[in-house]
Formats: sequence, structure tokens, C-alpha cells
Amino acid sequence: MGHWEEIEKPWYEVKIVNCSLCGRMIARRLWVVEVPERRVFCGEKCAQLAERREGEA
Amino acid sequence: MLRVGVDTGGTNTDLVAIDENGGIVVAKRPSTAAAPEIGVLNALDGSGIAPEAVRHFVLGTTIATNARLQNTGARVIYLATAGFEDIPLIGSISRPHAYDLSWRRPEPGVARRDCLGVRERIDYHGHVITALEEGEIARVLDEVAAVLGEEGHHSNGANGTGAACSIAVNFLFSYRNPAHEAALGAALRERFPGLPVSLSHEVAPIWREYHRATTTILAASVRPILQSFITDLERELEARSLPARLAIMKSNGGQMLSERAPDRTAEIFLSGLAGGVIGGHYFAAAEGAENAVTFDMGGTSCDVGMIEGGDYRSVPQIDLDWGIHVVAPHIDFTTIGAGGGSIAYVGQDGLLKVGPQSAGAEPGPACYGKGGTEPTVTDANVVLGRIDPDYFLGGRMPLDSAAARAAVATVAEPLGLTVEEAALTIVETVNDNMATAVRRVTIERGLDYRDFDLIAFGGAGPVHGAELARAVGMRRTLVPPYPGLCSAFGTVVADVRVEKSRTVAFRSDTMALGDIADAYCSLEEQAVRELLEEGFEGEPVIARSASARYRLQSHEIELPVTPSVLAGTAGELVETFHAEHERRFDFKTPGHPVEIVRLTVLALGASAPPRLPGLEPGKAPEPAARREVWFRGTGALETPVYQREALGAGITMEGPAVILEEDSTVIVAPDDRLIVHGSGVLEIAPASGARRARPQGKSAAEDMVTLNVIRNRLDAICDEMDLEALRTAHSPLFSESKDFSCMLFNRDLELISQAQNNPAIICAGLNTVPFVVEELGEDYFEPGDVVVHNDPYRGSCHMPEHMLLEGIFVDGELVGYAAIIAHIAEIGGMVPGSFAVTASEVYQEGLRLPPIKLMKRGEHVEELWKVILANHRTPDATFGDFHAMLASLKVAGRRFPELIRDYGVDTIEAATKALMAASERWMREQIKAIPDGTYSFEDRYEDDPRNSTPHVFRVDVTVDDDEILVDYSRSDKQVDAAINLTYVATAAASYTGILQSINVRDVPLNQGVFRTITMICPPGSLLNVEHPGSSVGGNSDGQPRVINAIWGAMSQALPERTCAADGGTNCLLPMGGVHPETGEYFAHLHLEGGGWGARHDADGNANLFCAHGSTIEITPIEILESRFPLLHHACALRPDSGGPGRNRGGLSVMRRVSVYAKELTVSALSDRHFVGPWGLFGGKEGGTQAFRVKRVGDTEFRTFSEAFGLESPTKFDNVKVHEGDELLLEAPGGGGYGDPLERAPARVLADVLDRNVTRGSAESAYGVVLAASNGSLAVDEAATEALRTRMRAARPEPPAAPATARPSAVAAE
Repeated sequence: MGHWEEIEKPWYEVKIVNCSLCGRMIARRLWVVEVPERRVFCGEKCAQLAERREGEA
Repeated sequence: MLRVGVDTGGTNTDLVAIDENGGIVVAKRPSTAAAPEIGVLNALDGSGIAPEAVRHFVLGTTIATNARLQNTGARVIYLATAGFEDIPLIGSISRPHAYDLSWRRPEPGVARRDCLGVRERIDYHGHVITALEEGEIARVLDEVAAVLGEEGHHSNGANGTGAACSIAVNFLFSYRNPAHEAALGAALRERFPGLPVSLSHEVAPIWREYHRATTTILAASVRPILQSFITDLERELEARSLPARLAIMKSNGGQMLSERAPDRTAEIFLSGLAGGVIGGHYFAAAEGAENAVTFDMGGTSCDVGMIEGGDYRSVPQIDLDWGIHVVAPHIDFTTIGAGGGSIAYVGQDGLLKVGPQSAGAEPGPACYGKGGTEPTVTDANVVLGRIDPDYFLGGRMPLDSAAARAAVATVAEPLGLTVEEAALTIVETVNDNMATAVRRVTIERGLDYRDFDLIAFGGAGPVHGAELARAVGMRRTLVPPYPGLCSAFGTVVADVRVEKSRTVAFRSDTMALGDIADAYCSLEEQAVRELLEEGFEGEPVIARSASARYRLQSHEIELPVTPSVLAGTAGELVETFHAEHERRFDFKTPGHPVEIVRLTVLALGASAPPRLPGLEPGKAPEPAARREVWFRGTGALETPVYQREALGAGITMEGPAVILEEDSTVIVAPDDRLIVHGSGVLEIAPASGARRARPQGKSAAEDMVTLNVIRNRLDAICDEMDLEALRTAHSPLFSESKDFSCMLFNRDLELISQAQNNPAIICAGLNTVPFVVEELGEDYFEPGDVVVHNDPYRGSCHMPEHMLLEGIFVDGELVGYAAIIAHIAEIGGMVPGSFAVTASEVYQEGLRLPPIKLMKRGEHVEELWKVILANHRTPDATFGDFHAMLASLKVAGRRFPELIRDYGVDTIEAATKALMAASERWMREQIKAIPDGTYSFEDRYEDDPRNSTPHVFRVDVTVDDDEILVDYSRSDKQVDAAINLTYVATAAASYTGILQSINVRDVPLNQGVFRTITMICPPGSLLNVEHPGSSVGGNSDGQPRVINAIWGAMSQALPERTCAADGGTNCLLPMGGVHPETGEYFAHLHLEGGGWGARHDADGNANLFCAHGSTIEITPIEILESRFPLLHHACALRPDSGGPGRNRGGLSVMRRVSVYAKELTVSALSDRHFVGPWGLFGGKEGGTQAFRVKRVGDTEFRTFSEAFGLESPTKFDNVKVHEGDELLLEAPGGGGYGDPLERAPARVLADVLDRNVTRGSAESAYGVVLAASNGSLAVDEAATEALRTRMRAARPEPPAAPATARPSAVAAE
């Protein structure tokens, strides 16, 4: 389960966010999973992969 | 008065004679390979013309081409400046296929053992540094005599058979000062009269020592056989009282007197092929065919040329194979091995194949009755009734139809076909092969072959032409009169052309126009004199040109120099250059010095084209005969046979029909219509006259022709972008090393095409472009806006790589994006060259640019330009390189909209989606073929600038059905030095490693391929640097390590596809300082190739760039020394640098240079210094890497660690070396494959003779004992067996399989 969030940042903010699983840079939209803790992904596929890997571990 | 043209092909020798009234006499006789002059004389005698009436006699010949293709040229002894003997073997470090690890570098035409050094040296000014002493000449002559003695050709040189020795001399900078070459050449000719000597400054007076080497070696190789041919022919022509002087057709479509030909072999290398295009062009023009493909099918090959817009194309250089350059102007065409003599056979897959092997003229097809038994295309045509066995060559050479039938039966039986069905399949197969060539020459240039006519000639061209054109979907087939002699006809209508050039060194800020004018006068005088000597009697047309460029550029543009220009001022000439540069490339840099490097004068003696008598109108005659001819779908049809001379103008007839003439046969298929034109040309077209309409919209996705055309036009756009950037760039890293790539994206940010450039950059754009557009938003882009970006945390591979990105608009609507990513040589930061390996933070690495507009609506954003130029150490180079990138984008801005207007947005969208889907399907099939499983491997950096601790890359590659997951989660953390990779650098390396492990040659480079690969690369690791970590070195040395790790993992699944580790390091040596001669600041990013890993079936290639840079080129020594204060003392292959193995790793290069700037700041980034690249399956490590220095006063070289007290010998910054200091660069060799004790002793012996392996290593690494035998080395079989037995017994354990456990590369548990 998760949802999309737009990245809101002022023009002078130059830092970027990476996907917490694959490491890809995220430009505009985050796939956010709140459970068990807030994590951001580049898309739903990465969130599912992360969940599967954690399950296997 | 007669003009005679002769074309000697591999099978036949053709003659055409034309008198002043257009009367034609023709003759065709079999070629006589052993003594080609006999074929010419047979044709001359058989033609019946009076030799004394011949005023022009021009010969076109493929003898030189065939000698190279069949490896029958002379053994070449290569004499070069001492220390640089290996240049032909070192070659360039690029390779043709980014993802094919099985590619083998072509042989250079000279054995390393025959490459001899001569002590002499000239610098880039042309000044003598080391004189060529008399004693040295004497020593070299003795050395040459010793080599000749081995071959039994002491002093007589060429023996008339071509199987002789020949000398090629190539000294550094001989194009600037030929004195040393000339002196040695004179001595060689005196000592060895009759021994052909080719001097590079005569053969190819151009800069770039390797290009000069390949051209001179080829010229030397074919020279004896050509010289013998010409001498014998001239003697026989003289004996026949033929008054004309023999002229030879040149590759550029001109001609030269025969006595000049042996000295200028390179200019006539493709002599025999040029005539066909010129002849085809003549008849295309006669029928108003502005766009046509010339199709010359002879006995052994098929030559395909292009006529576009009414003219044929010309190119300045041809590559006979990868890296085998012939630098001489020639007509552009493609040759494939498909001809009447092409042999048909059943392959291992049970399918029929045709060619490229040919039965040639001897024994020829089975039907020739000369002993041939293998089935050929001609045999198939005889079986099908398409060639009349009683009328071959006008009946002078009856064919044995029973033999043809018997030969074809040998393939019919295993195929389960009737003889006729097998014959039809042979013809269709060879037609398919030729159709591919026709499609290639059109589509590769972004042209639609359906808009072209086919000009079919050659003996076999009209037999196959109409069927081929129908299969391809071309408009018309045009068959010239005497189609079998069209190439010979082309030699008759060729002009006399003399080109004279001189290398000069004018700079706009110092040159005087008077000097240029004087040089032109001298050249013009020489050219006109030669033109007159070659028999031209009219008023020559003189054209002058200058090769000019901006300082720092490597490629020139030809500038026409008219009398009015010479009457003006030097300033006006420079202004002409600026204007021409702007016209061609859309930009100029008026304040930048202009260099003129070559002056050329072309003297053209245009011959009036002969006016051939037209045909009288006529009515369809009665057939001369009727016979059974087989066609697909109809079987045997009773077919009327006509003699061509019976056909009058205006006749139209429906197929089927056979048109007989002495030199060929024209086949008109049942659905075709024949029209006889007044020019004598026959036109064949589909009887219905209907051509397939070009599909539109979504249906395009289902039309393979349209898909192919669109795909290739997209690729052609990227290729043209690539060329534009290459020709205008200012830094050698860009223009010579080709460290850039061009790409197109659709509006959905999917990669739809890219130039086949550097894989590291190819795969980077996949992530970089979407990220930038998404971050900025589509609305950010307006027409003419260009965004620049090099932020490593936003998708740049590393800071020096800058992306310029532009939206493509059609009628105001955004339709896609064009991007170019290129390495800018200097971007500021803490070290010159911007490769600060000791940098801990991004801020030390140079100027960082998040995505921002560099151009706004086509205008410079001056504020940003000022910031950039103020922060780069070499702003002139940056300014030029950025404009080269902008010029590249402008190409896309023109061409992409053209494509969309031609097909419509919907069609392009549908087609590109279909292409991506097809690519994805293809990739999934490739992955499915790999056994499922998880394969793990490790590789590592040996140290970092501050610590000797290694940093480990750990990869787990999971193959799951048709997808791959590449996981780096177990790798080490981010390092406090600039050796981390960015996410994009790791992604690019991962894609590259996977594609190379699959080991395929033709990868469709669009988004579809990459959808199948997923990567996990945690931020903050060695493979995904987080802000503010530094990363400049990760792209150069981290990427190859990632790729090597993937090879290691995949070798467990695909042991016969991957190879052992390559050198795996760029050997980067950034340097900068003030040039003592110009006072200008310079920066140079030096790099080297390395040995490549051996494979299961072959030794590794020597000296190629790392796996992530297929297009990277080494900067030639002559360019390096012209730009930077470095003087080379040696550049050679390192013996024993290839890792021992059943197959040996490739050798690497050493380079020794001295510095003559007062001070030079040097940094370094490399690896593999302590342990060489790993081997596979028992193969050993390749040679290690080293940077060494010998400072003034030192007696020997030391590592930089030893000399300067540094922690790492390969990773350091800002070391000062000074005038007189020497640097020694040693690149790593490739790893070996398999047990070295299993290497055949004969291969080890050959390696020792070629100095690839030392005698000591032959024993210690391979267990091969060599002993002197009759003055040379031989394998001591008994001692070798005994030694190998002892070595095996002494091993602690047998090599594991796969034996990947090496200190530098560990197969994970």
C-alpha cells in the first residue's frame, strides 16, 4: 500500500531525493509507504520489490 | 582515334573502345589471375581494333583489392622511428561493436617481427631532433638484408608473382619534413634495386601516424603485384605499337599515368570499382534518374553505389576493415561477396547459404567445365534456363549444363528439393543478400529505396536486377547498353584529375597571404604539368582549396580559394573561413585563431562525354527463339528470347522474356514490363505500374519496410549529430577520443535512438534526460532553448560530462528531445584537467551546473556563459566544445522535424512504439536463454589516495525468466575520495556489462531493451554517491570495475560468451601548464587502452580501451606533440603483459615521454597496480599498471609514490614535474583464459618470435622450452613435455572451474 506525493520545494533548493530501494533520483513524484515507517520510492514496483525482499530476509 | 577502357575484374576482363563518332567496340575475355595482362591483351586482340588507332587507354583494375582480400600481397617490412615500430599493431583503442566481446582486431598487414626501428626523430615543427646518421642507415640496411635473407629475396625484390617482400617506411612527422624518409628510401633503393619501397610522405602526406602507417603498409603490400602487372602490360602494348600511354583509373573517379601508379598505389586501391559507378552514373543521367543505386554484379562480388541528386558521392578515406584505413579520395560504395561465382552450400543449420566464397575464374562455376564441382549462382541460372549455355559470352564459351545440373543437385538432395527448386532457392538467397546491401546504402543514409531506380549492370546484374528491385520495392530497373562492360565504359568517360597538396602551418594571427599565394603557384604548376603529361590537351580547370580549422580543432573544412580571395588580404581569407564555418555548422568564433594546414590544387581535364548513337524506333520483333525458363510461382514457362540488337526504341513488351546480348542476359519476369528507350537503355518495371503506398498512421507499425526506414532515419539523425560534433569540437578528448554521445527521446521521455558511441554515455541518457525534463517540467522548454547540466546527483555520470538538451518542436508543438552528452576536458576545480581524485567533496571537482538554460530561444544566455568560462581553465576549448554540441543539436532540430513531416506525428509515434516493443521482445528472448539463478562476483579498487585499504564492488546478478536484477547492496560504503560512482554511472555500467555478457553485436539501442533490467544501488554506497561526495573517478575507473564484476558473475552462467578481465582502468593522467612556445595555458586528459581478456576461443585483443568506452580513441602522437609540450621517446607493446593462459590475454602499451614545459602539473587516476586483471578458468593475471617518473638527475624510473612520497602510486593530484623529467606509462594487460600449460607450444613460439612473450616467460609461465635450430628458434618438444609435467606436479591443486579466485577479483560464495 502506498500513495503518490508531489515533491514541493522552493526554487533555491538544490538537494534531491533518492529511491530508498533502488537509489534512483526522484525528480517530482514520490511513491510513499507509511507502514511500518515512512519510506519513499521511485514507484510502486520498487516498493513491492522492497517488501518482497524484506519478507524473504 | 579511339578511346579504350579496360576493366579487369576477378572473373572477366572487359574492354570498351569508343571512336569520335560514338561508335563502340566491345570485348570480354576471362581474367587471368596469374598474369592479368594476358586477359587485357586477349580482350584487346579479340576486339579487332587497330592498336595504332588508340589514343587513350585507361585501365581499371581490382588487382590491389583482391590482393588485400585474398592476402596475396607482399610480405611487408615496416621501418619506423625507433621506439614506434609497433604503431601498426597498437592501432587505435576503439572497437566497432560496443557489446560484442568476441570481436577480433583485423591483422594490420605486417607481422610484429617485421617491424624494425630506425634511430631518427623529427619534431612537429619539422625540425630534426635526432639526425639519421649514415651508420644508422647502414645498420638498418643490414637488418633488412637479414630479413630478406630469411625469405630468399636478397636483393632482387619483387619476383613478378607478388609473393615478394616490400618495404614501408613511416617516420614520425614525415609529412612535415620528409628528409629522413627520403634519405633512407634512396639508400634502400640503391642497396636493394628492384625491391619496392613505399615512403609514407609520398603515399599519404597526412598527420596521424597510424593512418599513415596503415595506408603505407597496404600500398607496400600490393605494390609488387601491381608493378609487375603494369610493367608487363606496358611492354606488351608497346610491342603492339599502341601509341597511347597507359593510364590507370583512380579510386576517386579520375585517372593517372601508369608510371605514377606504383608510387601512388593508395589512390588506385579501388580503381576497378570506381568505373562501375561512373558508368552507371552516365546512363542514370541519360534516363533522368536523379536518385539511383548502381548495382554491379560480376563473377565474384556485387558493388553497390549511390547516385543522389544526380551525382555520386565521394569520401576522403576508406576503411578496408576496422582500423585498416586507406587515406585517399574514392567514390563511396559498398561491396559484398555475391556474384555469379558465389558458391552455394548447406550450412550446419540445414539451410542453404550462398557466398561469400566464390569459385572465381579458375575453376569457376561447374558449368565452365574447368573442374569446378561446387554449385554457384551461374550454375543455378543455367539450370533455370535464364542463362543460355550456348550463348555465354556470345557463344564463345559454351557452358556445360549437365555439370551445372549435377552441381546444383549436390545441394538439392540434402535439402529435399528438386534441382530446379534448389536453383530457384540459390537465386533467391543471393538476391536476398544483395537486397540487404541495397537497403543498407539507402537506409543508412536515411533514404527510402522505394524512391530510387536500380541501374543494373555487370555480367550478372541484368540477370538478377529486376527481380532484386521488385523484392526491395524500388521504382525501375535500368539496364545500360553493354551492361557487362559498364565498368570498362566508366573508365572511358572518366576525367583526368590531378590533385596536388602541401601540408602547411599557417596561423591567422601570423600568416602572410603572399606565402599562401606562392605555395598555390607552385602546386598549380606541378598539377598542370602532370595533367599535360597525362595526355590532356585542353584547357584545364583549376580549383584551389585550403584545409582550415579553428585552433584546437582536429578536423578541417575545405575552403575554396578563388583568385579573388588570393587578390585580397589574409584577413579576408580568414573571414571566408568564419563565414563558411558558420554556414556549415551554424556557428563561428571570430576571435579564435584560424589554422590553415593544407593547400590543395585540383587540375581537372574534363573529357567530353561521348555521344552514343541512339536507337532507331522499331517494332517488337519476332522472338529469335523460345525456351523453358523457371520462375517462382509459375514453374517452367515457355519464354520468348530476343537479341538485344533487334530491339528498336519505343518497344514495350510484357514478361516473361529473355534478352540476349554478348556480355549479359536480361531477364524480364512474368509480371514485369520492358520498355526500350532511345538511349539504348532498357527499363523494367512491374507491369501494373503500381507501387505500394507508404503506410500512414498506426498501420506503419505493421509495415516492416516503414519500420526499418524510420528506425534507420532516426539512427541516421543521431549519426549526423555525432559527426557534426566530432568535426567541430575543439579538444582532442572530444574530437579524437570521441567521449560523447547523441540521442533522441520522444515526448514521453523514452529513448528512441542514439548514436552507437561510448556505452558509458549511451546508457546514461536513459536516466539523465527523463530526470531533467521531469524536474524542470515540459513547459520549461521553448523552441531554441538549450539546457546544460552536469550535476552528478541529478543524473550526470560525473562532473566533466555535460549534457545539452533541447526540445524539438514541429509547428510550435513539442514532439521530443535531442540530447548530447560530452566530456568537457577542463571544468575548473582543484586540478588542471578537473580529475581531482583526492577531492572529498563535489565542490573541489569543478563547476557544478544543475539543469539551467544555456541558450534561450536561440540566443546565448550571456550571464551563464560568463560564469562558465570564468571557471574553466581553458575557456576557449569550452566555448568551442559547447558550440560543437550546439551544432549537433541543430542537426536534430532540422532532421527530426523533417522525418515527422514526411510521415506524420502519428506514424512516427506508432513506429517508435513498435520499435521499442520489438526491442523489448528481442531482449527478453536473450535473457530467457540464460539459465535462471543468482550469480555473484567481486572486484575492487586496490586503494584510494589516502589509504591502502581496498574498496569492494559486490554484485549479485539474478536471472529470472526474461528479466535481470542487478543488486549492489553488499558493496562497500561511499569513499572519501573521488572514486565513487553516481547512480547513473553505475546504471550505465550495469546495462553495458549485461549486454556484453549476452555478447551480441547488433543491439537495438532504444528504451525497450532496458526495460528488462532492474538495478538496486543504495545511496551512500561506493556505487551511488550522496551529496557532497565526490565522483569524478567513478565514471572512469569505477565503471570498468563494475562491468568486470558483471562479466565475472555472468561467466558462471555463460562461460563461452564472457571473457577474462580487461585492463579495467583508463590510466588517466590529467596534466596542464603553460606551453613554452605559445605562452598559452593548456590542459590535457591523457588516457590509455589496455590488454583485453582472453576468451574460450581466442587470445585477447591488444590495447583496447576499457569495456565502457568502445568509441574512445587514443590521441595520435603527432597531434599530442603538436598541442602539448611533450616529446615521445617510445610507444610500444609490452612483452609479457598479456595474462598467460590457454588463450593469452591481450598485450598493453608502454609510453615514455619527456616534458619540455618549465613546469607541468600532473594528476593520476588508475588501478590494477598491485595485481593485474584477473584470469578465468585457470588463466593468469595480466600485467600490472604503472605510472613512473625519472626526474632530472635520477638514474632510473620510480613510481610517483617513491619519487614524491605519495600514499598511492596511481591516485594522486597536483604533482609538479619539470622540464627534462621523463614519464613512463604502463597500461595493464588482459587476463588469460584456461590453463597456460595447455597452450600449444607452437603458439608460444610464435609469441616469442613476435616479442609478445619473452623466452623466460615461455618457460616459467607456459612450460615451453625453446632452443636454437638452424639459426632460428624452435620448440624443444621433449624438454617442454618434461617441464610441463614437473610444473603440473608442483601445483598445490588443479585449477578450479571456474577459477576466478584472485586477489583482485573474488567469486563470492
